[in-house]
Amino acid sequence: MSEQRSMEEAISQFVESLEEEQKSNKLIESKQKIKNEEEAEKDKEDENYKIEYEEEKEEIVEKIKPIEDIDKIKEFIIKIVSSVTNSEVSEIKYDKENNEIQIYGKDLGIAIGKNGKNMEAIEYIVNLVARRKNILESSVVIDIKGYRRKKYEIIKNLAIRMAKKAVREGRKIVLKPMPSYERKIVHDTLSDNKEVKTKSKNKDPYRRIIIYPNKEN
Amino acid sequence: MKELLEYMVKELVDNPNDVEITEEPEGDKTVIYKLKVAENDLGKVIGKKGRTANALRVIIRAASAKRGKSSIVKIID
Repeated sequence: MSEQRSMEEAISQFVESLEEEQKSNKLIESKQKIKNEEEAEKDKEDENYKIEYEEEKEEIVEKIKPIEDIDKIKEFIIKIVSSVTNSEVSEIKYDKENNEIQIYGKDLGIAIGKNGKNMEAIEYIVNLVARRKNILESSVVIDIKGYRRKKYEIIKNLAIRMAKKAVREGRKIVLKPMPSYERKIVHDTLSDNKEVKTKSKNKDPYRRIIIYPNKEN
Repeated sequence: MKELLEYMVKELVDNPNDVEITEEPEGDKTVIYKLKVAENDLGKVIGKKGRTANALRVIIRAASAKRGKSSIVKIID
């Protein structure tokens, strides 16, 4: 039940953000029109936009998909994960805040794969299908047995450690190749660190981060 | 495994009724899956830079590995 409520919240948030976007679009439109028109007509125009805007708002609410759709995605994931692992998914939950689907069960290792490769592939296919069916507003993240969370901590710590090393030794540090979401963790972790800067080089799947110490320090 | 591939592909294409998969054993442990889809769905199963095709292959390979087998997915055009 609480999950349903959280989905409802997610949807209402989504509607709000859509409205915001529309509002700003309308604003730009109306500004352009105003430029071409008499000062006297301006107020009337704004009135019209208000009415129009209210009407569109109702339309959006109708377009929003029913909440049960997240269950369809869950079903799809369970089917794939259990087929791949030949094992059972014992728990699957949707974390609205992080837009993440967490999966638990015995013997699911093969669904994660080396460096999370298989999990990435499953996530990619799931998001393709979700987008095709207009189920989710933004890409969902799949995490199996908390792998991604653990990996996040590991990479964050690695980034901090390597940044210190770069500063201490006064030379660039080249990290091993990482997939894009892992590189993002490094960039994000070190973006506030004024002692280093991070850059990526080479092409996926060999793309890797280089941490440079800032010369000024 | 054929069922899994079929299940995923049917969710991806516009014409699920045209999805056709044939299995061909190669040696003891390898199976080749030949995937046929409607012409206008080819792009959907291949994807940009072959990403979708690769993701499907990774998943099928994982499922095969779990069962001590190997597999090849071929998309027939």
